[in-house]
Amino acid sequence: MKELGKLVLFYRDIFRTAIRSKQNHRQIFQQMVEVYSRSFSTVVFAGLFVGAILTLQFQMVLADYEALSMLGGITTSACVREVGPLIISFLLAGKIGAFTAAELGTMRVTEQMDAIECLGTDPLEYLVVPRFIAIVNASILLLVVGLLVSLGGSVLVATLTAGVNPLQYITSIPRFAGMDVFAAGMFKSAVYGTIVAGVACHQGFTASGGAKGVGNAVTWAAIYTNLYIVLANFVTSQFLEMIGHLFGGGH
Amino acid sequence: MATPSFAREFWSVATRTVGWAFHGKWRREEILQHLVHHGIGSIPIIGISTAFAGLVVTQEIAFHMDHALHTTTMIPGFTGQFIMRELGIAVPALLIVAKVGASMTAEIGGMKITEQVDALKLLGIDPVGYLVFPRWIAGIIATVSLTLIALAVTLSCAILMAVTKFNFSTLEYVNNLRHFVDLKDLACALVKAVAYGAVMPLIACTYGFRCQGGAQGVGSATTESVVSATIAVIVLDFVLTYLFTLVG
Amino acid sequence: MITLTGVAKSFDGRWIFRGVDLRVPRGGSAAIVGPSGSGKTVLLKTIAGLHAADEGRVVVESQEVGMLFQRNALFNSLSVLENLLFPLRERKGVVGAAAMALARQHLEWVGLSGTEQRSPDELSGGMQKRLGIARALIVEPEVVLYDDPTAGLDPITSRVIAELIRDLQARKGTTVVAVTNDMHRAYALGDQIYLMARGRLLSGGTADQVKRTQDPALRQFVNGLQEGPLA
Repeated sequence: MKELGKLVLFYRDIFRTAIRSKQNHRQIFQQMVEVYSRSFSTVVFAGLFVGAILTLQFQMVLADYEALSMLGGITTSACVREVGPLIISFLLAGKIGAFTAAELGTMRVTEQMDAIECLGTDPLEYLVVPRFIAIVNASILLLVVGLLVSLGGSVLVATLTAGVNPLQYITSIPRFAGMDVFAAGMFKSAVYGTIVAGVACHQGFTASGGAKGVGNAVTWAAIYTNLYIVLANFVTSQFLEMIGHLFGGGH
Repeated sequence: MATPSFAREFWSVATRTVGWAFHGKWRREEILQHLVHHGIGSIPIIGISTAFAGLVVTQEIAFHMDHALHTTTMIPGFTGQFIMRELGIAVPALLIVAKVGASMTAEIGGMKITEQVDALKLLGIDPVGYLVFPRWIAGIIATVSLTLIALAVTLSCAILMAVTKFNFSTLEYVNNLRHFVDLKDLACALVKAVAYGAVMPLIACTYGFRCQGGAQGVGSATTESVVSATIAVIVLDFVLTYLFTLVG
Repeated sequence: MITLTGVAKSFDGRWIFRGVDLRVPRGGSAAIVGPSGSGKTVLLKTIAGLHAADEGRVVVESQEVGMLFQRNALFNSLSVLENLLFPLRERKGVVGAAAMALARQHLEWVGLSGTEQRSPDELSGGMQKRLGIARALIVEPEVVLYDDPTAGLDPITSRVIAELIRDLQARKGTTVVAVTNDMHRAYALGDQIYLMARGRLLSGGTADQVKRTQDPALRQFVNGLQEGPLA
């Protein structure tokens, strides 16, 4: 709880600094490309498997009801609205979050941050804000890629193991997963991306105590990111449902 | 990431650890210590996370049922199956990987770069037997126990949501559930938990032993450990789920 | 006591050192100096048996080898006292009151009485070195290896540690190999002084001989000159 409070204050500091200072767009872009290229293959790989797993699971359930024609729609909807963003952002918590915490944490414990401060530069402005912006953007982009790939994975498994015609599978998607579902997925991705970026920067920025301290920062970055994502999942689901009711009482 | 040298070292650590179970000394005290530290220490975070997962999954499945079948009467069955077969196992596994796996890598990595691993060797103590094996056993026991806790919490919260929001009575829900979920599902869940619990400490410890340099080395090893173990869980999940579809 | 003949070690196809010969008689001591990264630590760990030599023979006529590591390698999950009880239990099978008495005696020798229950992380740099020395000696080794025992210590503490090492060597009659960057400590610690540089181990003789050496590499290192073969 105390951690959460500190994190909220940290977000406030980041936003304040971000608004106050002029951003170096090139640096942010470079950071983004770096984050993106480092994580791309992992996200694609995980996305394929997440889609595949969900298809297998729903296939077992739907086969009992002889409702395999709905496989594509239900799997896609579940994957994009819920499971996809959740699992892929768990992965990003490690791939991006832990990496950033390690990078910033190392700078902190090897006194590089102090050196920057000595030069009269605010490390928050110089090191944290560009990373934060880059990670939020790259995470959203990666989540979208992951979700699209997961559709590929589920089509593959549906064709191979359930004997569902790929065309039939794909045509069943719009019946269940319309624009609202994709918007919901995007919204969740944006929220999770912000969590990944904020927690990682916070843990790295406040690391202390040598190699052990960096190890701790990385561990806690991964744990807190995952925890907050699960909590945010609940909150955003509630929020999205409310919005859904506002626009036409459901569906 | 998964370079050939990592694969070779992982294989060596894994075979020596498994071999130790038959030929080596079981250090009960160490195992117990890791069980308390990693297992009991993870209960709060697993409890909180899976509680929310249970609440959300009911809501999501209700949304889909309503959409697809225009009825919500099947909520208990679908939710129960999805929790027992997938969500109630995958969510805690991914959290355990992040928490326990990362801290194991950080611990062993820290020992490696401060030469504590060399100091053990000099005393004639096998680092695999002393450092990895107790973590491996504790990892398996902790993952299985935490998965059982997670399943119970997720299901309870799913029931809570169904009762308060979708007007089921608890009895009705449980009866409905028993129709869809049987011991076979529980067995599958346990098999998955054992697999995750066995693989995660081995990956974490191998990355720990590979640590070089100072703070940076520990940081990057810990990062790679979390990512690799997360992917390992996702791949294992797929493989085991596929095997279960063949059996069931 | 320690005999190395034609020893070579490589990592990933890169030679750290080749053709190393070293003889240290029983009760004698050798100090190895050399620039950072010249392979002194690797040589010490090869003598300890932690690295296998790629070529040549390493003979250490001792049941027990004690080593003080560069980063002390104190077990930070254990208390100061447990750091001493652990090797006794694991290596010698000594437990209970006997082990406790030995541990307390060693703590007294290195001047750490009263810190039994603290964590090694809470000790100062000099105290950590002392604890490392006590842990190396507690298994009654006939050969003790010191890897940069005075690194990162102030000159006074550094001198006190060097004297402690000499004192304990005299008291126990151990054979010592010490690695250091500091010529003053090398003179204090070694009967014989060696220079490790460019993948070779060069014998410099006694402290007096080293001070009057004509060898260009040794002269350069001893006098801290920029110009010379070690460039």
